[in-house]
Amino acid sequence: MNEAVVRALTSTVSGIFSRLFGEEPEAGPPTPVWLERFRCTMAGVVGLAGARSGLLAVHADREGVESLARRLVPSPGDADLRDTISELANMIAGNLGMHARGALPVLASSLPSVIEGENFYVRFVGAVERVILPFTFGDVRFVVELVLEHPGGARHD
Amino acid sequence: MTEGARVPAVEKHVLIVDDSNITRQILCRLLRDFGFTKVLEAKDGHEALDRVVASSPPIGLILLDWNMPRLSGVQFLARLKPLKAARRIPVIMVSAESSTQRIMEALAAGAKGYVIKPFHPNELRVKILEALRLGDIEPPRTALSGSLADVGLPALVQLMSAAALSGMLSIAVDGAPVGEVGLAHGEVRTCRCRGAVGDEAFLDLASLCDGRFDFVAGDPPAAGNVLGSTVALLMEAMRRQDERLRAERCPGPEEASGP
Repeated sequence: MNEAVVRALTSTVSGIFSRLFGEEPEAGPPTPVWLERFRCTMAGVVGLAGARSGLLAVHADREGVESLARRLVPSPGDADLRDTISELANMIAGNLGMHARGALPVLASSLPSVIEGENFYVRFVGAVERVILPFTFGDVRFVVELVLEHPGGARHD
Repeated sequence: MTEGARVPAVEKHVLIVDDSNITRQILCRLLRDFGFTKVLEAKDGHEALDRVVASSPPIGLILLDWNMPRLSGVQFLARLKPLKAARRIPVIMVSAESSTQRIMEALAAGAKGYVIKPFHPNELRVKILEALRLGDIEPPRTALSGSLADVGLPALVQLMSAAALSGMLSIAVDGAPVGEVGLAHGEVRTCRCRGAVGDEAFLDLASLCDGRFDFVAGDPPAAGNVLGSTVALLMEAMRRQDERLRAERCPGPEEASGP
């Protein structure tokens, strides 16, 4: 993945957390493969379209999402947890273009969806570039994943 | 003076339209902090339209999300326009969509202000004050700035044409002015670029991939120097843009798999 896009993604996430929660998360090193020891039970997913299609996802465990939601509303219920993770994905996707400037063409984003549970597998049917960015925010560990259709756009089955 | 102008701003009914319950709660809390006491909520554009029609006294301000199920924010604006009772309700778009193209689209559809999520409370307060003032006193004088890296000149002029805007669009590169486009009710009437004028000047400006644009709404230019129609100019500009993109494209597939 283009370094400028990875930098933009990191600064987008930091900026959003800083505005929403008043503090920035600590970013770990980006990697193209899934983190073996990372436990994820909730994911907010937004589809991307435009000059390059793809997806953006925020993964965390339920307790982590609850901890974030509690910073926004006093006693969050199940729907608030889904709202929190999906709004985070939505805001990161929506703000990414502004931070990436010329490195990423204008992106349109879909309505966010939420995946709950830990036994799922995502398979991309096209040629893609992928980056996994781990973050720590207090006692919350979360991961931001960006997948973009390769600029060549070749499809393989 | 309108009936709206006699009502103190904080007495106005404010409608929050957002599918996210958390966002509605945050906005609700902020509005109460700002002094608004009559806050209504809707989960999507359809519900919002029902609220607008049924509300008595009428809604005085709408805070509107973009991405919502059933009826999006921009679709809601299109449905709101023909409603006589809703014509003077100022709408502020509050959305995570941050590209200049999206902001232009919202303004062209009738939004009076745009706030990108997440926002600082003061930013929202200022936009609300501006929107309420504009709603009560006069139609807004559109002013817009941005980067050509986010939205190229052809797309920008296309949106301005759709909104039938009049005024002057100035282009600068590295802080130095390089040209300007005069618009009359959405039609390109005049153009100047580095000493050249007319159609070719427009096509030169349209080829810029970087730089700043500033648009100030105003009277249409009195005399024109552009001969071609705006549609023909835009088609030619886009054709040249496609040619450049094709020349730059360099494919090279790569694989990746998920967790």
